[in-house]
Amino acid sequence: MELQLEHLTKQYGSLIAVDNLNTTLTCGIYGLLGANGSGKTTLMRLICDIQSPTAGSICYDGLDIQTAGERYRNQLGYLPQDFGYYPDFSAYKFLMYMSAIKGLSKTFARERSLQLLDEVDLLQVKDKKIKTFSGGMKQRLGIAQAMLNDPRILILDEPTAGLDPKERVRFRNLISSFSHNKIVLLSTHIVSDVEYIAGHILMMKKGQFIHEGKPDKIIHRIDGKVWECQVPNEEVPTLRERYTISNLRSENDMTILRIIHDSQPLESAVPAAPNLEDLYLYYFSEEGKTI
Amino acid sequence: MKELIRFELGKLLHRPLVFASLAGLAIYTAYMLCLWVFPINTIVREEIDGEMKTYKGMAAVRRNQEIISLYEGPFTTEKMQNIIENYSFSAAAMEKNNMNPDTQIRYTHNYLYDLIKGFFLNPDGTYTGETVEDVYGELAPELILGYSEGWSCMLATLPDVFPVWACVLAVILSPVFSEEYSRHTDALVLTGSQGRTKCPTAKITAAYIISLGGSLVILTIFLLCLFFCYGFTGLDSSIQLSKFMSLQYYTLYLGQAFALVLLLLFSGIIVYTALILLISALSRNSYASMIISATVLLAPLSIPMDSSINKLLYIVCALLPIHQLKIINLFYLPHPLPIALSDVQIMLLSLPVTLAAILIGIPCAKRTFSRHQVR
Repeated sequence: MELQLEHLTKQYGSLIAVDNLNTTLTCGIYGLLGANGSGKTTLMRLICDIQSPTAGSICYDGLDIQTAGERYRNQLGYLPQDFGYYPDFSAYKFLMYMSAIKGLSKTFARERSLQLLDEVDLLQVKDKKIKTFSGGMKQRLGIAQAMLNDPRILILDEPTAGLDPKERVRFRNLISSFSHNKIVLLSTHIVSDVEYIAGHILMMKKGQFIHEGKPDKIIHRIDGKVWECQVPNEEVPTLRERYTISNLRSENDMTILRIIHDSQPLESAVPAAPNLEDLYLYYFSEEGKTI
Repeated sequence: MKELIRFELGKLLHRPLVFASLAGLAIYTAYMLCLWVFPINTIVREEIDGEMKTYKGMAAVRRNQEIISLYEGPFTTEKMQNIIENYSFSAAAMEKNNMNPDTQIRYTHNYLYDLIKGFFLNPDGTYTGETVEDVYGELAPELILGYSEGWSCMLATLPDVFPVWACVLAVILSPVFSEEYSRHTDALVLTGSQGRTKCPTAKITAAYIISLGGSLVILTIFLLCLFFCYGFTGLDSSIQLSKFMSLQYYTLYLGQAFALVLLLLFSGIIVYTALILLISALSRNSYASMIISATVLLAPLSIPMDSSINKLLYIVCALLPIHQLKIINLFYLPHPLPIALSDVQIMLLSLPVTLAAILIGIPCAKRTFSRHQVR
């Protein structure tokens, strides 16, 4: 099973949201990283065939997804970034409705809905209206609906938004156990979520993939660019202005900084092993400086 | 598919605004039934041995039925004269009851007498001397007399109720597609395997179940009231010998008029439902969809449907939903239309318009939703 993106382009007027992307996705979990406006959501919508590309194509096992139509959508599960719901539906009724839209039989839908509600820890509130749910509960319901039809291609746009740490761990385990022989593409701002479960990373900037590959391999691209140093507290504001700082930790009147920079920022700075978050901040340093 | 239709019906109907609209429609329909169909204000006055006897409500209806049973069938000058002779009040009886004998025709007598008094009597109730042929001309040989009060009341009231029902439909059906866009559920629906095929079909089916089902319910309520109060007799009587529509200039019986009313009401509802569906599929949100739908329905009312209008525009306007629902007003027209087509021909034109709405409007709405680009 493979999903092939060929010269995929999406343009809104003069803005190119997705710019001539070429890649092939096979079974596994793909983490899609990029700053806001980098084209992640547009790419996911193109893959879900809810937006048409300006140029290029997406083929599922060699067949254009627009031609495959229902056959392709049968294999698809999608959680959009701005997950819409019907406020007066209960969680269970919502899943039953989504099952009907996905063409599942009523008997199977009942079993599957209850199973997924259990897995996302919503079984106790299955009969409560969605409008009474917290953000995290709605997000978990969104994850459940995406998995209803046991999709072979699962597209999750910001799935961990609104989840607390415990829920995120639960989500990661759920996706990991689900991903066997499936293509899972998930975008998130929480890099650690991707770092733990993604076998492949796709890093997007201005509509293009700037890096793609296994996490441990692409991390090495910033070898020698991550530094740690200990500085007096009063120097921190100046350094924050000047460098991208991925982490800082106070110890008495000193602060331990993790700086991302092409060259050694301070004489006292020593090289550190990079991680995926460092890589993210290296390429999206404008967001990094706000940490 | 049944499951999807059930869900779509629930989504459309379970909204506070819909409950409020339906409650408003129910109150309005009940008011119109009481005002026009229930014989609350029906009165029959008869002079018996110099005394005035008054029947009210259902008793008046029964008395009217008894009187008309004596004259049913072809309407002749002889019958007309007989009615005038038997049911006019004497001057003495009128004075005794504080009534002015000089304005006898202003007082209610019975259904039959009141139908013909305007054509054959002077204000003081004396016979003008005109025959049925003099008044009705070439229509005279075809005129049939029967008790048509219930039917004519119903035909006069339905054109006031159905446009209101159409407005309620705009409230109920406007969100059918557009709400998916504004709630951002479009992405979920359109990525489902049935999201572009069975789902829009289910939405369209649910919309028509509501619009046609609601129309049938309203019609059934009217028919039940009609049957309860008047019975179903009178369908074979001439529209010229009925309440409200006596000036009609061509031969038409109430049964035919009722069939035309059914045709127009249902074609109007079918066409308007298709328009709402199309507007909903094209609108960004349900409020925009509702406002546009209501405007499309009501705006043509601002165009005057009289002799000043361009002939082609008249035909186009007559085929718009609001005029299909209100075109029953044509039964009141005392003269031919200002165009070459007769009003019955215009009514029959609603058939191809309905067909076009089904064959073009509905597939366009479905296609628009299926190809919607999520934003």
